[in-house]
Amino acid sequence: MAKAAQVHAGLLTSGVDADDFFLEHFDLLQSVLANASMGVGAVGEGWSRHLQNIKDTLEEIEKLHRDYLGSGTLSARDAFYAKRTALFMKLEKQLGNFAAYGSGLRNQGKVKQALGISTRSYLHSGEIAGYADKVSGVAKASNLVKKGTYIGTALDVAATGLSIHKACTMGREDQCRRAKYVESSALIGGLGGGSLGGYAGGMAGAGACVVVLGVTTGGPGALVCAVVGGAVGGKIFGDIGSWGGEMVGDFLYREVSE
Amino acid sequence: MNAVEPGLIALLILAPIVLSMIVLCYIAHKYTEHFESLLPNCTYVAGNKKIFQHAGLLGKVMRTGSISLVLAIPSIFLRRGLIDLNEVKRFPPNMRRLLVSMLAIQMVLLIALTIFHYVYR
Repeated sequence: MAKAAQVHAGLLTSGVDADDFFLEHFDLLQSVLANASMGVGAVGEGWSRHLQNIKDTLEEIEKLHRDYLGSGTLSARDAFYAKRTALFMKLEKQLGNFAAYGSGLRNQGKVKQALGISTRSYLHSGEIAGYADKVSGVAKASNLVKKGTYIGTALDVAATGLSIHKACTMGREDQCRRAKYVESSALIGGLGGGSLGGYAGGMAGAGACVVVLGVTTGGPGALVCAVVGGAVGGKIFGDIGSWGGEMVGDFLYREVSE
Repeated sequence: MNAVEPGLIALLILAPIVLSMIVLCYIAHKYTEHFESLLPNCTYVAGNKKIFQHAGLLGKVMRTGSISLVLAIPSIFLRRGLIDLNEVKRFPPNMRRLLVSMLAIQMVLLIALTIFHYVYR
């Protein structure tokens, strides 16, 4: 029951803390939360809803196991297997596309192995081993993705504030003044370029997949295209925008100080 | 070429980008539902609404953007049967002008930014 309590705590709070999940996916998170966050954020809500659906299926499997264990009669057994197979198939389908990235359940072979369950081991231990961590991982990924834009924007602003602060405490006064112009322009340029690039990329991604590849519109496939397009566009134009912003800041600083 | 200050050019590209994103957010916030009600039989518009309806303002921006794309180049969507051409034709011309020109301005700005990046890198 300790694990069950852990699941619930994980699902209720689903806060972001530096645990194994965070460390394990750090490279992904970092790349998503940098400039790409603008683009991903625009489309990430749908992604997070997809993860939410995976979580719901996992919970259904858990509930089914618990109910079966509660009744435990032999006649219930066939019904249990049939229901469980249906749920497994549903989960497999949900995990079978790119939008499951971040759930921590991909590419681990069959669903049963990924969840670390078999009928016997469940009956023996009375819990789905390894399952608890996975559900809270899904909830966390979904939450992170949802807040990606805001976290990314906040990180950008914080980084800008830090470099201005650094220039103002370590450098001379004119360096401090220059940093204020250059760094804040870079921030505005990066946010502007990133949002426009993410918007254009997301649109282009979704449009291209639907029109050229014939992906069903409104489905998870189109969503994935939008996420990828948005992330790529946001990243590229966020970088260029921030580079251009620096030049603007430099220019403004020189104009003002001359 | 170097007589023109690169920082000034960057300013002239980036300032309209920021401005256009603000305008776009305003339009999306105010009119997305209205635009969608004018195109009820377009599956592409309905599909995007389904994906992004829980995504708040950013989702509305994406929905408005895809509607602009439909209005700007209906022929490619028509080929897949994703839109109803009659509805697109009936779309109020002033709104269509607004959306299509916003999209065109933004694409021009993005291309300008890219060219600028490659010239002054």
